[in-house]
Amino acid sequence: MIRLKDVKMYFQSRKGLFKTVEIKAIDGISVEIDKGKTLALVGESGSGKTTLGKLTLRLLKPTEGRVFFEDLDITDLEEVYLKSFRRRAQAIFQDPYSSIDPFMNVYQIIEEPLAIHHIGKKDERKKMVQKALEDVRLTPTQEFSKKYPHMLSGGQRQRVGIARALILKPEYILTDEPVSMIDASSRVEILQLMKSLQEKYGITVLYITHDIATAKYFSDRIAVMYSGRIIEIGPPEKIISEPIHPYTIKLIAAVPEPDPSNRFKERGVVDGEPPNPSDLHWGCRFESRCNLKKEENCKSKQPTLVEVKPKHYVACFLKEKDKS
Amino acid sequence: MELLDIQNLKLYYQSSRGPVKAVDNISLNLKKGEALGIVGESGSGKTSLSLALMRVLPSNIDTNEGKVMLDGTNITQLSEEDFRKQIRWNTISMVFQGAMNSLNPVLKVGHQIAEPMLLKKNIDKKEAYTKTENLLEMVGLSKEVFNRYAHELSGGMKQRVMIASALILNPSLVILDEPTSALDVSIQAQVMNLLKRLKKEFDISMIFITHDIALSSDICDKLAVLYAGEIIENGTAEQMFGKPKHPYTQLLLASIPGLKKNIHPKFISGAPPDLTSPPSGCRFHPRCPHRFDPCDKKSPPAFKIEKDHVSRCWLNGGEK
Repeated sequence: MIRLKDVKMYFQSRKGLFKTVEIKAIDGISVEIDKGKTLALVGESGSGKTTLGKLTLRLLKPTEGRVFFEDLDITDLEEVYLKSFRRRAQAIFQDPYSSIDPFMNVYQIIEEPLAIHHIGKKDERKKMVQKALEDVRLTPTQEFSKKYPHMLSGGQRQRVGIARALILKPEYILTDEPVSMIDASSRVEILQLMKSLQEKYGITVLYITHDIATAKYFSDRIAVMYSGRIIEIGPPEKIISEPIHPYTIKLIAAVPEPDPSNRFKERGVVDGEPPNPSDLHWGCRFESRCNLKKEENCKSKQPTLVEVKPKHYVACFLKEKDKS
Repeated sequence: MELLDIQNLKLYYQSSRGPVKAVDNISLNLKKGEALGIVGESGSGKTSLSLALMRVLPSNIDTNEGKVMLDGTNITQLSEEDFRKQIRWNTISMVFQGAMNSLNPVLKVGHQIAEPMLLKKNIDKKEAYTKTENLLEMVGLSKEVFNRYAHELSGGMKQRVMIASALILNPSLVILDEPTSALDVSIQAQVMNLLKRLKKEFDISMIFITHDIALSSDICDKLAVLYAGEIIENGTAEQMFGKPKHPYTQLLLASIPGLKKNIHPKFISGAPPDLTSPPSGCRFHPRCPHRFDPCDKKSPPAFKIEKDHVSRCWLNGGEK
């Protein structure tokens, strides 16, 4: 459904008055999402997750590489065609407090995309909005239609965001940290709602998150990003229970599990912080924080994704040899 | 001996629809060197509780009563001036939620850490700066961070700076309000390791406020679960994680997507109540899957489960 081929995205950033530096936000990514499936993109802030998401919607134009939507090459799509493409691909954003207009009521917010794309007459739209509200379980719909965002809780606002994304019956939805601003107790509710709607309408989803635990339950594949590259990709159960890349191993160890004995021991953590994306060396991006015994290659060459176990790809020179 | 003993603390705010009962009759205690976790959803009164302890309150206070004993003295009776001189930052300090964004962008961070010390009489600049440098090393930063500005630091480093600034006057109690909520998991784990180390090596008592019950197990010896301004269950970490008694605590634990276990997480339906007119009886009853006869009529008292373990639920009403 969605296919990225050798995509690179570099930004120019001014440094001082005259100098510019190149920031390598995405540096060579090829990935596919199958129709009707969910790919979870996991990584720290600054790893390029959001940039990659924006590329799939052509909100950004890649510096190099191609982006395909089904058979359509959207890399150089012109404005005229973009509008019809955007009807098929929608987004749900992180912050339901700032991504919806506080001066519009729920009905107007959800109806707006229909107006922009000139879909339906007034009474038809009304039915569609009502249906969308029922889909996201904001019932009674009459009552919620008239409410303004400030009258809703975080979870309810995010449902408005979901209804707005669904109203155009898209084939693909990008969800960028959809539950990170929502209380832990209602996160699962929103994720389950999205999952059931995805199955009902056969939507393809890119789920961007820093929370690998929710990715385990709500995706078909997990891709771990580090410093602009995918370093491990595979089925959720494999990534979680048998992670291979040293970074993924540490990332999983850092997730807190409720266990009263936790307080007596320190967590194994990755020391330091990710490299500066404007100042990268030739070798593996994780080299400076890696705790494994390094090889010559680690410092001089970029590892690429290799199928180490069935359907489980890892970009690490040290693990290539473990191939079974 | 208890370091902190909170008795029947109430904090109501004024609003056009009547008082908002943000903290309603809360009693808690904490021993020296212990960490107490306060867990609850947003709007449950976690932050209000800590603001009441620090006495940094907004102007629209309706009711603020109860007794807070710190090391044997009743600090609720102190005048504002005495409280400022003796308690705030001297004995109780705090790392505020999102505090890392409140660093002054035009002052060196070292100076900002040292500031509370510089405001004291009889302390010269050199002494304060040396102390600051030592603190920076204690929280895992290098001395040269002293001369940097906030924009030159990453989120994790800024949070370490905030922790150092809370420790500058050697307080006996530090309140941490969501200290890691804006950080990545791996940086969060680094900060939690630092807190564990500080607690162990310097015997600092902590109140750790969070909405993430899983994270609280990383540091807390005791746990209190807050719902709609009331503590609905508290006990030791072993009791709370091992055999939680209140349905709300059980549901909170079930809502965590576990990595090791393969149990699909559940959610708590509904939303927390409006604190101007909380539900009758038990405040959790509209969302509770186990509600029965007395729940919507009478508010459950604190039932003692075993030593240190208390739950406010009619299901636990054997002996009182």
